[in-house]
Amino acid sequence: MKKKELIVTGVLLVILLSVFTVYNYVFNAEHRDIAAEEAVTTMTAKEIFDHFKVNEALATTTYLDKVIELKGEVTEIEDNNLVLSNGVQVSFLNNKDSNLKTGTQIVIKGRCVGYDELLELVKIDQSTLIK
Amino acid sequence: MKLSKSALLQICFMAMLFITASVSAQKLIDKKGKITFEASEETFEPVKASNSSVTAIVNTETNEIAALALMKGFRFKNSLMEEHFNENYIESETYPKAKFRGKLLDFEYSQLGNENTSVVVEGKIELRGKEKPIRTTLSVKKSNGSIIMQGSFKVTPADFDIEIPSIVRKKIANEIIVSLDFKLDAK
Repeated sequence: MKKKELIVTGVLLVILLSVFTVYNYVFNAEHRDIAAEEAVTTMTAKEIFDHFKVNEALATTTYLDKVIELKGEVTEIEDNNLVLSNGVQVSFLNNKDSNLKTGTQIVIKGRCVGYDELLELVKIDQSTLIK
Repeated sequence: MKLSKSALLQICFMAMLFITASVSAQKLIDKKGKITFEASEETFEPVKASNSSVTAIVNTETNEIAALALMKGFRFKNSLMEEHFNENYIESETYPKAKFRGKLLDFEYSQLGNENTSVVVEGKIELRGKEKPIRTTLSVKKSNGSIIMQGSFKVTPADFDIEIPSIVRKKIANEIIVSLDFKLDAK
């Protein structure tokens, strides 16, 4: 009898624990870790800009929310943001490298959030500097 | 062909006028403006997200203002909420951006000082293929060469045909408070 009670309590505890784990997993899931994700594609900043400029709808379905590695020349720096090849605005996940200068070639990895037709810029967020 | 003195003077005058006009037709731009919206209900988890790469442009000659926010750029504390926002409510793959176009009323850029000035803005927000007229008062001031523009307004999910399922209706406020914080620089 004692043994049976113990087993029942044990089973109940396991059920309770798994329900809690699943709940926690679903409702308090961690955000994507863009820095740790592998880029789905690598291209130049000019190339992705041209894709959006030529066919925004198609480029949106192809690149929106995807992790992309981009190479380009730094053409503008402002706080934690910079512009690559006058066509891609990159905002860094953490504080950006303070040694970055305009005119240098860099490689970044980040998430594509879409195209801003007011300024004609592709926007990338949560970026990290690769090179 | 020989130009008379007066014609030459006239050309000079026209050229000067043109130069002055193009100098005053300045654009104020912010590439990383901040927009936050909140639709929290007391006792439930806060429903709140911010986007800090919003674009805002003001033409100081016509006082036209335009802003653009990419929906994927709104970050929530809770990742599941962010997912639902993008996939079920905003459908950001189909409607990736929100746009505002409007006008600053009785705004005189050259008169703007370091104290907060109230400026009424009137315009339309476009989101999910729907338009909603907006009229609100912004606080505008100059600060270290930049122009600070802050304000807020209210919208409802129904304004943009967003249906909130009944199971979560209690957790999401009917009125959504949208606040903006722009720091514009002359370009």
